[in-house]
Amino acid sequence: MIWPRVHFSLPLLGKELTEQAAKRRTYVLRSLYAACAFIAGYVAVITTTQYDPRNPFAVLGQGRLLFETLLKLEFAGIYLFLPAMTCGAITVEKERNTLGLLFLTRLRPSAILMEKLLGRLLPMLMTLLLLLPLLAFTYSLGGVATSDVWAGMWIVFVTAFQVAALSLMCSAWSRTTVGAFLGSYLLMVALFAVAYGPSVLKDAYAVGGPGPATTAFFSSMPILLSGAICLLLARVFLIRRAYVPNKKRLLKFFSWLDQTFHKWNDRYARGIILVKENPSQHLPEFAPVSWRETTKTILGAFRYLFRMVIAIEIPLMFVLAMLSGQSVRSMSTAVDVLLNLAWMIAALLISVKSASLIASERVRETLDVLLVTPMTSQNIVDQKLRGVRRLMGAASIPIITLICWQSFWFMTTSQPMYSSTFRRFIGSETGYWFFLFSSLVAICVYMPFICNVGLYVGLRARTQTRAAIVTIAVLFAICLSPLILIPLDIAWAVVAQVSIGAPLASGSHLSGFGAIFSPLLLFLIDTSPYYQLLPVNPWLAVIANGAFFSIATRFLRARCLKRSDELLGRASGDINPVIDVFENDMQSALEAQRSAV
Amino acid sequence: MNAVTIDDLRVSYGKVKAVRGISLEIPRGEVFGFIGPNGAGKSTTIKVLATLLTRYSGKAFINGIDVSKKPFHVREKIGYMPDFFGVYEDLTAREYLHFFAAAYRIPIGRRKAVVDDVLELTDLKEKIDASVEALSRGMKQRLALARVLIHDPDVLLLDEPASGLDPRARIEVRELLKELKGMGKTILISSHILHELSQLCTQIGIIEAGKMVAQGSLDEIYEQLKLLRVVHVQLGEVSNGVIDGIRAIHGVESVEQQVDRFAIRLEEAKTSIEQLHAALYELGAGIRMFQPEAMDMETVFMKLTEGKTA
Repeated sequence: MIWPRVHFSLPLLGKELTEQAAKRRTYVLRSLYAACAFIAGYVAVITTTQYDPRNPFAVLGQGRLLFETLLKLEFAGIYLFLPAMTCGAITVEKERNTLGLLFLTRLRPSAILMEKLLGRLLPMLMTLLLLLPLLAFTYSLGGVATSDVWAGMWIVFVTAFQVAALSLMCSAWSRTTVGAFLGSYLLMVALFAVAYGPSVLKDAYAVGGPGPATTAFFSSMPILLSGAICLLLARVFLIRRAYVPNKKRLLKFFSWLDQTFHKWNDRYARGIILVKENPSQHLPEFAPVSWRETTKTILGAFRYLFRMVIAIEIPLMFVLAMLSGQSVRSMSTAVDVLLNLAWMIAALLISVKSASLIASERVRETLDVLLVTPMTSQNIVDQKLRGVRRLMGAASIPIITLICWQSFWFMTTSQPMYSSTFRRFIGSETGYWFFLFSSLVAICVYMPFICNVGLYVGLRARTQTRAAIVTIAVLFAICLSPLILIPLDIAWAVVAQVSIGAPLASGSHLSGFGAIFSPLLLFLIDTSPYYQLLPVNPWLAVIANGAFFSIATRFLRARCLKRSDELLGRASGDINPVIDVFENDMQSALEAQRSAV
Repeated sequence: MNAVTIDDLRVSYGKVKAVRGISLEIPRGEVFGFIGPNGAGKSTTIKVLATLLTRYSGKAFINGIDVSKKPFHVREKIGYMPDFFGVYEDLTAREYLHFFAAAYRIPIGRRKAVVDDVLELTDLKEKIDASVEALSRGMKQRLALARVLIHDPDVLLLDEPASGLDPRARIEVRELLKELKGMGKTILISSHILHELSQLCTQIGIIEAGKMVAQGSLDEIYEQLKLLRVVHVQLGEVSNGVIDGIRAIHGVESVEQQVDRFAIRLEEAKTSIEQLHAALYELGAGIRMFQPEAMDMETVFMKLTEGKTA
């Protein structure tokens, strides 16, 4: 009997998997994830089961709690890593101008998409398999039905599918990987928070653990459906947006707005000018890089930033006015949510902008041209930062508005600040002062810190995408770094319990000390009973935290400037003897010219 | 003093040895053509001179200034154009040139005149307020050349300035370079377009796999390689006696009969073109056409290189 020959191959998938297998970071990420997961598993075993070494059999039957914790870890892995892994799937091809070549092959667009999807999904699922030994352990403890395991696995799989499809859609839509990266995370948060996320996930696996397999299957239908819709949209965008030019829509919109305002001004106000523009702004004088950063970029030019702030502030004030009619509790919670959202967006913008400062010059091949000018590397870096400083100022305005509004509200109404356990703990009268102080410390310290981390990473990275992703990953790691001390706390507590019979709750408080050196400190003590773990007075903790990050910022900045020649890739040699003298002469000449005018 | 001196330059990228002991000297006012296949080490050598590489061994000097010890002084003397445009697309041509005028600390009072001058030279005056993004490739290349000239450098380091340009733009760039040569600039230019280099360069260096395989003026290299000149002739009188007579001329290696002409391969060191013409006339061959073939760099290049990379 002659069997029909079946030609089946997945060349793109093969290429994707081979490429990823050849990268060191694949293994680094997997190892890190495994380490974090096993540490978290260890912590979960001790805390959720109230493990007592003198009676190890007491944990039997408590596998369910642990199982839920492990599932949450898997979801965390998916939500954290998968968008970053997938967002570049199509945009990288666009950036390398290879997407057109793929279209010329016999691969159909849908095949390209599916192979790209599988190329990202398979490594993620492989990474999640690292938790298999822990899952087996929890299963062996008892309390978890086989159907629960299948239901859990199914929900993990469909969630991974949904997130990957969403990121693939963003990748097909966007022109650059950075755009796809930001779009993926923002859409994911929006989808999770606004749409069906809470209800479906609650039904499926959040409360009471995974239900029977059939319930989980039907509960997961919306997730599968949304994933399928994302894939369909990705298919549409893949062709339609394969060769999208950089339209600079925002810049064009602002230019149009400029012209319209000028027209209205001429027509209705007879061309009144409140703030006279400096004519020297039209062309650079002494600091060309700074001039370009502060006049030619959307996130650096004053007039554009001003309009953005106005566009955010007016709706914000409106929302706050609406909230003032609500109960104190719901108002406070809503403002907390808005504050966290404002911080997230500010951190994202600052980190991406600062990471792109040098990396974008590298990608656009303009860095070499800049480096052969007689400007010092320190000068170039310093001038580059001026646009980000403006952005930091603009980003802090909505945050300050929210902080001041909430403090003012509580001061005038003398209401306790319900949403915060800590605020209740230290009393409403001093609560808002502490809130004001800690929030302002956060603005003054964390924003420059984020900016300098981004700058340092951007100086080392070869592409904008890598710079942005690494910066966000580093910031995330810094935020969560105190968590690695929790296992030590627990180990200490277990030892103390065995040796001297101390209660399990009395840990070493190492993680409490560690939290002082995390940017999450202010968030934690403001919104959770975490203050109880703090080994020092909260005011002192905030001051120590602020001082630590100020020093870290100065250190990073000094390092960036000191090693700027090496990091930018140019010969250092002597210092420039010409520039300072020349610059002083130029400055004095200009001042004389201006005074004469 | 030489404008450019390189002595035993060696550059490695990890395990790959990009440049393996290159030495060269370029006197002031000379145009030095750097020829070699892709990956031969041309751009790396130029980057060392442009102070953009820090890890190398050997010595490199611009106007007698050590590149590694006094890079800031060197940057004042050089104009570097990489093998890509290196232009800010969000600026206009005027803003772009003023940007670099400020970067080179040209006094504000002089900037307008300088910018106008370089735009005039590069024939871009009409495009002064055009967005860089809207310029054609050739115009962008000329704008990049204008940027290179803005601080009036002594030495121009041009890495593939004509690559990717259409024939018209290429000719425009070549004419511009001839003008710069006339202005007495020392130019180090790398290119793949060999016949253009032969029209422009006073010296050439052929580099392969990080090593200099030949260096000198074109004539010197032809002589080194013992290349034969091919002269195409059409004769009124074609007889065995005439052909034997041509073969007997001192310096003639061979005579090949083609459809409508003879191709005479001549060793120019023994008999010059003029002497060959006189000898043919004396033979009474009745010369209808006498056309010495231009010695092309492509022959030299193919003879000297094997397409190896570093």
